[in-house]
Amino acid sequence: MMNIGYRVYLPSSIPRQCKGMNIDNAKSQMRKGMLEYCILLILRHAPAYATDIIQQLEEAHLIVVEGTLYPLLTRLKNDGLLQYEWQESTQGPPRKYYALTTEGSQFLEQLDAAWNELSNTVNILNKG
Amino acid sequence: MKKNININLCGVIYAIDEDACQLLEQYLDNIKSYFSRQEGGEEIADDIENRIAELFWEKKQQGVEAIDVMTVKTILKQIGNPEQMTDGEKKADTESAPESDTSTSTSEEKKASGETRSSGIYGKQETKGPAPKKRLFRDTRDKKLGGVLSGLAAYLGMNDPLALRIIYVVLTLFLAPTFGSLHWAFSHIPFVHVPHFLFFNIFIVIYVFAWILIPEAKTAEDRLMMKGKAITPETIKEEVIEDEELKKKSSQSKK
Repeated sequence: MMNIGYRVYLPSSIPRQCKGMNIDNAKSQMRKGMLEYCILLILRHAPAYATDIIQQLEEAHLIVVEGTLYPLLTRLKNDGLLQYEWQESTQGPPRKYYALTTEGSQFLEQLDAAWNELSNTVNILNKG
Repeated sequence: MKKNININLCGVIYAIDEDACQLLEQYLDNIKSYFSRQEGGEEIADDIENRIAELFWEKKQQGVEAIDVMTVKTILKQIGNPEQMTDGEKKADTESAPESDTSTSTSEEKKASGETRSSGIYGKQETKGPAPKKRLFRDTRDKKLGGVLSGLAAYLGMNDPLALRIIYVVLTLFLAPTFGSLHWAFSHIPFVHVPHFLFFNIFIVIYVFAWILIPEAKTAEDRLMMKGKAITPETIKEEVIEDEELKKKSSQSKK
């Protein structure tokens, strides 16, 4: 009789092992860790719409699929780091205008420190 | 020429081709069910719908009267499908400039590894996970005797097993090779001989063996495999709901 062989559904965050780990998987993992930090950095300059955020990320050479942003932005909002207001527009349906909260700014400062720590470690290891 | 319908997206009416609308609906349903498991999932789905509305609006402003299926495909590709969203990585997109090399090699590599997981935007139709496996079961929810022919009909993709049943009855009564010819069947009034005729009838024998050998479709997964549908959380949910409704109907009709 045929073997059915169910596939187990792994969460997509587990890197796919195909012919060993490769650079794309590694990069993807690193990018995922950074994305939250990047979004907060963008909002630190000025409040923005989701599309502005995508654009600024692109300009900074971080290409993500648009849809990636929405779950993240909602999560950051639910964590109290962001807030938004609806803005009506003649240019289309109303849009969410995101901004950092005070909690968000404080968290961002902590992230700055964390990032410096990490990059410091890498620098040391590169030289040593 | 295509049929066109009006849809309401975030309070604005858009004229959209029928096939494009179907694609969009599928996508939005997929998004909703994907994020329904998360906290704040509804909000995420709304944000995405909102973004699509924005892009539709832009098209309208550019003078596009009817939104067609190619436009929808492009837009959905731009927004991405749920798997890509949680990965946070742009895959298989030839338009992104600096990252295009890495992203195309990722998708090629995925194909090489033999994964049937799709980066498509069709959600329910292209399945995430194993390609649909068809397996022969007996469908005991829709049975006359043992659900053998019902199960076979489902395997063959037929909605209604009636055709198969009629064929089988004709075969059994008139074309049973064990007792040879049509002449024999018609020339005797089969009162006394009926028992023999039926008991050793090859098609009866085949049916009984099929009844014994073919397993009954018990779980939702079984029923999905019987029909040759893919096994994903969505299809299982659908199957369970369908099953509940059938149970309700049959208990009502018995009253």
